Amino acid sequence: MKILILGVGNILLKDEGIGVHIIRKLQAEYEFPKNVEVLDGGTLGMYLTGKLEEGFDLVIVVDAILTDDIPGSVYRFSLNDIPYKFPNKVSPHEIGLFETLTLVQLRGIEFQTIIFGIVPKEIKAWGMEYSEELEDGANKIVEMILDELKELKAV
Amino acid sequence: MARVIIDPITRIEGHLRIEVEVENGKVKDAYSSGTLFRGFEVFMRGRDPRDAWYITQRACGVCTSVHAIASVKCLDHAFGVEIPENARIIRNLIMGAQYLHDHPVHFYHLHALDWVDVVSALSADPKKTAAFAANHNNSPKDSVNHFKKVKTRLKKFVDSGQLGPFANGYWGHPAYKLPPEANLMAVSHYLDALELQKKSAQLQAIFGGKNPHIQSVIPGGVTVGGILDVDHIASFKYLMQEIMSFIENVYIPDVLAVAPAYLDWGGIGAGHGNYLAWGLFPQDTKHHTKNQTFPDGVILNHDLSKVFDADTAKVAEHVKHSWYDGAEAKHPKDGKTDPKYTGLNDFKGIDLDKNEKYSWLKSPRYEDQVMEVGPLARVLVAYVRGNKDVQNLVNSTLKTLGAPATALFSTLGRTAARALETVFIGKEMEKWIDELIGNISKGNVDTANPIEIPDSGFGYGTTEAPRGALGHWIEIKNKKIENYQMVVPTTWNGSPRDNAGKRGPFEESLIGTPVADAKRPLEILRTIHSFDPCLACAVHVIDPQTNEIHKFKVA
Repeated sequence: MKILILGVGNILLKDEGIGVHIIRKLQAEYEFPKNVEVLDGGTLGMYLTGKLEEGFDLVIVVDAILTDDIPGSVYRFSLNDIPYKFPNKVSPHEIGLFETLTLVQLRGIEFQTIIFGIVPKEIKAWGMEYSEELEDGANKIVEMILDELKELKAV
Repeated sequence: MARVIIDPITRIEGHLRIEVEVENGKVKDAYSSGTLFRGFEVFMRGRDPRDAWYITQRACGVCTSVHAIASVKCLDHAFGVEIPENARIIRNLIMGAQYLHDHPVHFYHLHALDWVDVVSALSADPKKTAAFAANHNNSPKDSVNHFKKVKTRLKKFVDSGQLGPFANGYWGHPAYKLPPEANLMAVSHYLDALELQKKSAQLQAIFGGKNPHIQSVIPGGVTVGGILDVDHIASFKYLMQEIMSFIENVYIPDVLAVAPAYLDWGGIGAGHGNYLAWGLFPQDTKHHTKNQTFPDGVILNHDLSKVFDADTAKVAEHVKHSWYDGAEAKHPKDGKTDPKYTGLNDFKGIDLDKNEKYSWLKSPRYEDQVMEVGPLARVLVAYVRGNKDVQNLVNSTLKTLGAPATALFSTLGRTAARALETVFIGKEMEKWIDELIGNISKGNVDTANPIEIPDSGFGYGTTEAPRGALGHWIEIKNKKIENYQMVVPTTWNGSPRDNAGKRGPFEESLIGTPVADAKRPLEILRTIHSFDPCLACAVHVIDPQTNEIHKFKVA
């Protein structure tokens, strides 16, 4: 089973970068077998198309998620669970990961998705560290990703 | 009178905001605001000039190489170094790859859905679609079976109850005019174009080192001398073939297939009719050479009988209506970037008496004239300067569409010019790669000349980003950057009013645009998109905009 674990976000804007911070945690603390790729997707958006079409069976995405919930809350869902916008956008910067995932699937490239979202506290302030309120949630996501992989017997 | 404000607010307040006043179904006045402060000029001060190209290309995450190229040209000039012939060719190939990437992406992924109704595609008959496609293009993929599959996937997507993606568009808007078959074909090519986007990014990375943000240009030349071998050049040529096949067999035919339904847009969106190009793809190694594949030039008042040489000394940036201190219009060389944010009240509507300043964009003007920059400006300048290939492309397109030359000055004209220059550039690139092979086979593999940073000095570099004229200016003191200014295309096109009160190109081009439904201003997006605006840096967050998400909480 070929799996991609993809964290996205802008690490210059504090909790906006939490997806990438979680990926770095995974990369620093664990070793993964060849069939599991752990990737910092940064703010690449549409540029991730090529990577997503490399024949993965499962793509696990880690990102910040905007809800009215308290910072640090963790959500787990799949691409099909929530509505997203078709990219009729003003500038190329607005084609984000969700549009890219959708477009790749519309092209007939099929893979399962699991999305881990964590509610940020600050996403407008400059800073390369995330808020401490997110620490428990970030660790929880790491744990859940590892459980997910074990359950799938991918590791 | 209705006020329409289009403000794609994202989490960082950085974007384009367009406000228009609609009266009797037409735009009466318009205001364009860039709502993001860029500030590169501020943090360039005091740095090593050799880092300028590396840092400034981070102004963008999409058309990154254009800043690298403008910046190294600026540094070549300031350091007084001439680059080797091979470096010139390789820089042109890197830049060309950017165009083969950006223009199709703009057409399919940023502009097509202004003209193509996705929901209408669901009612298309795949057989009729294949027949329609066969009449218009040579796409090898377009079969009845393929369209059936695309339609099924699209339908499954909509039927799954996730109407979200489509709810955001203006589907069913009366300004959509294409038959369902054309819509299905276009949606299908929209998905195919993602493949092209990937290939053209790879193409740029061959000599650019990576994409986005190339690594291989330096003042004095390029650093890829070590990879001028058969493998890399063959990969380049092979990818070029694949990309050009899509451009010639799908992209250009799609523009020609969609345009006949929208010929009225050949009379909408003209603007001031002044066009500026710095020119692109130098054909010799002299600083600021006039010998470029796309020549420099200025055209005024829609007058295609005259073209003037473009002179960077004639640029001045006005800030009366921008959030900067200062009153006097200044040349970029003497430019200041002192932010003075006065807010936009509560964004209820701009009143120039109360909101004298309403944008982070300055207003660059050329001899006090408002200038449009971009594909249309480049194509018109090359046309009037007598470039035969460009003239043939433009004339044959006008003939195919049965449109008069005046239709060029329009929303449709911009979109057509973008497509035409893509195919023109691709064909030129094929010649350049052969030129490079010729040099190498003669044993000429020089790619860089040595540099020395002067104690003090000045330089500028101009080029063309896909969306228009781009210039970088540097002043060096004690071997450090004393002042750095960038005048980027969307600043020209999206600028607010100038010191004399003249509207910027976006603003002027919207005057008179019909708006059928002020709540769904599709027509405004068409014209703004036709300029290919680019303002913000990327933000990526999941914003589900629904409380449904709560059931997925796990911790």
